[in-house]
Amino acid sequence: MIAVAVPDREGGVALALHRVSKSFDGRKVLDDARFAVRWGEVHALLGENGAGKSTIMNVATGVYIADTGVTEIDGVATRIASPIEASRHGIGMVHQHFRLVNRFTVAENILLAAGPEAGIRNLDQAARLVAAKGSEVGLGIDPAARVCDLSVAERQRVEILKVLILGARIVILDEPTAVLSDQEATSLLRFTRGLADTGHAVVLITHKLREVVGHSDRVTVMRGGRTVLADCPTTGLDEAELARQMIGERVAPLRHLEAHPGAPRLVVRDLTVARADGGKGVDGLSLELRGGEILGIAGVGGNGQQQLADCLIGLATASRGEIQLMGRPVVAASVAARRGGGLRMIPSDRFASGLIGDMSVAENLAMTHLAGRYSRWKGFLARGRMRRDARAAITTFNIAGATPERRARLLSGGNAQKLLLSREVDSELTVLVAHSPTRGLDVKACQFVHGAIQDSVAAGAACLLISDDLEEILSLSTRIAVMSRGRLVGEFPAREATAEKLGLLMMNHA
Amino acid sequence: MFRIEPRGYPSRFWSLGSPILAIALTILVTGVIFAAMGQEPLVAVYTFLIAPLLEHNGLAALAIRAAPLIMIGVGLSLCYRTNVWNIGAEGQFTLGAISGGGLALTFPDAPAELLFPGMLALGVIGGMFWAAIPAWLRTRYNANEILTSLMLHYIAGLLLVYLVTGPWKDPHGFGFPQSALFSSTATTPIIVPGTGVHLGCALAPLLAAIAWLVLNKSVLGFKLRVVGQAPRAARFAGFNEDRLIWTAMLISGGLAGLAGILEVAGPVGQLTTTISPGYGFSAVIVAFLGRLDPIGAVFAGLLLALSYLGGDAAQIDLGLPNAVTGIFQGILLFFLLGCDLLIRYRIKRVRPNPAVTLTGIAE
Repeated sequence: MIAVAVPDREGGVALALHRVSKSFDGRKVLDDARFAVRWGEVHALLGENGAGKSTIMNVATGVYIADTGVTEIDGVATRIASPIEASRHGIGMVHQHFRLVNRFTVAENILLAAGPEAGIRNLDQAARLVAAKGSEVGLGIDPAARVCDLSVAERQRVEILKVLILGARIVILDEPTAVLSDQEATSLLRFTRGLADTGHAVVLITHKLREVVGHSDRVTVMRGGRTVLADCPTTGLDEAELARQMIGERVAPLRHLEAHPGAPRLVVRDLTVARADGGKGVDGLSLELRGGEILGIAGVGGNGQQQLADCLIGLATASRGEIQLMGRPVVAASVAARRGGGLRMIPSDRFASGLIGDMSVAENLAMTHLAGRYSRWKGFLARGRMRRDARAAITTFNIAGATPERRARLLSGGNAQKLLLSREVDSELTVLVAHSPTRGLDVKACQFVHGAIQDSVAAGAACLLISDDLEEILSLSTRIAVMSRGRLVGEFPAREATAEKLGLLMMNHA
Repeated sequence: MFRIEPRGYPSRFWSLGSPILAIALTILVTGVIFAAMGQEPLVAVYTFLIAPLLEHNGLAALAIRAAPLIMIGVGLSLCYRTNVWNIGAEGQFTLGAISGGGLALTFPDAPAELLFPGMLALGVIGGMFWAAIPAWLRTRYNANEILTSLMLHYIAGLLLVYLVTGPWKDPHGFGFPQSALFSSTATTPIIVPGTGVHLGCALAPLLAAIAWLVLNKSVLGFKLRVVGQAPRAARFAGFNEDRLIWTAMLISGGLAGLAGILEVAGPVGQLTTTISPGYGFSAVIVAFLGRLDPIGAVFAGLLLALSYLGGDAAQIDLGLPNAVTGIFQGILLFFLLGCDLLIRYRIKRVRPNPAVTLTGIAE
């Protein structure tokens, strides 16, 4: 590999962020966080989902403006107000979700994204630059290929080339291996090493221990918006200690439900569900769930949890395997039929699946029981009954700010979730699938949701709790399994589970 | 400098204000076009939009023109609310005319009490059948109904041409591409003698009222609206999305077919190659101008009907081509879509701040 023109500043601090805080809608996502990467090193930035890793790097690249804090480049305090300014300072970021125009060729994408900044005037020049830069750093790609014809790994190469052509010397990769196969990931990690060897500063955002220990020089760990471990050399690092740092001390659950498992209510055998992009979301997963128990499924988001939830309720089709609900096979049944069997669900995307923002509270509540309870004479809506039931639900679930006529979108997150709960946790409930039921909620709302789930299970229901929040899994579940790459990779009773044990399973298999 | 920024949620004011602003802008620009064509703009606009109403039987003429527009527009409103984009109402209108008209031509001497209701029923079924094809392609193969319904319109048009130049051609028609005139028993009843105001003119507002009830008060209407607004949430709640797509397509196709048979059995009186001046397409504008509300479609249908009358008047009184109707309708749709931006966005004056703007673009 030919050395790229990078000033000889080996070992000096390339990029440093000090005392950075950032809030969204009053919620602190970065709290006095700090981070520093040196020239010539691969620096891993480790943390759970929502720890603030991507946010702090988005501050460094000018996507977000921090509320407080200082950014230093080469020791000089610098104000970066936009990604273009960041790129002028030699900072480039490869985002998790690619920003490419799929119908355009590689060269066209480069011209579009880097044209004026990198002084590229036409397509030929862009194509030549792609070829030259590609062979220089070892990322060969056909400039004339359309992005939609490229594999995910190849698209990632285009993104990296884009950043390098823009002149980045500080290269930030946001969970780059999440979308890659093992071999592709290894080759990418080798590439990052080469980049560092030519003097670049490389930041590797990740939650995989393997990448920290094997492929980076130093690690910074973030948790809950704070930096809990900064600038720690990775040689001789204890993985268990790292996992503990990342996950933190967990508070003991206040009220643990004793499992009194009854008959199996939900049985899943060898289930395989495809992802929208054709890959396998769920890959031969089996589980059994009985009344009176909460099976917690832990795991880093994106390991097939969404496809599992969609397939259980009937929104996604299984390509293989079977599902039994209350002893009846339902793998080919409609959503309505599954709901008829008492299956209920709290989806992870409250307003995309569960509720309709522009419809009233009463309409949202009635949606699942239109056929029986809320239709009267000649198929007309029983508006009076809808209103009365809504009023009752608002009182019972203490949904603040709600009236039957109010549009659901005007409710706060916690109250919208209560609205959803009051609809889904009804008298006919047999199996509840709760997918990240407290995501984005405040402490009080969390407690309420957890209480409602535990109450329904104490009353005999079965609950499948899918969550990437370990604390939630540990405090609610009677049994815990870890999901990784579409299957369950470990399962144990809740009392044998520790955050560390789960963390290691989640991160080593991820 | 101005900036367009998203509102928190849709503005109710602009949802109704947008069509009014669009109509005002359309009249303004139409006036400018009239001026460019050498007309006195105010006189021309008066001739185009007001004079037709003041003529003898002007309101009757308006009602006759509005009936098919309203009927089709009501169906399309329901359909678009379901997020199903039936653009081929013109074809469904034609199929309705062919199916009902075929009965009239085959049994011209059948008793009136059987023949006319039979024609209406066949008209509805014909329209439904033509809408069922895109519905099937959409639900079975996920084919885009905008394209399939639009293309089926051409097929329907060619089928009509084939019939009136071939098997159904009037032997006593001097070679013109038209069928025989329908018998008196196969004619849409006139409800206001001497004006030509026919059954369809009464049926259109009645159907609009029924559609409003269905959409706003019935379980079916509720389901259609939910599927239209949030298809994923509808599936999640257990609605059968495919069945609702079918329902929306069949309702809009059936109403377009009904409008078709009423038109050929009424004002037209026979099957010809020119049974519609583009009612099926103008009804798309009717639906949007009426805010996808069946009652709104009644008012919007009247305005679009007026643009047809105005086109005739402009041709006769000012010597302008009657393409002004199409121009007026086109400009109206253009401004309507443009003004609808105000429902979800507001236009804000900002001091120039390059850094912020760049971030906005990069995002």
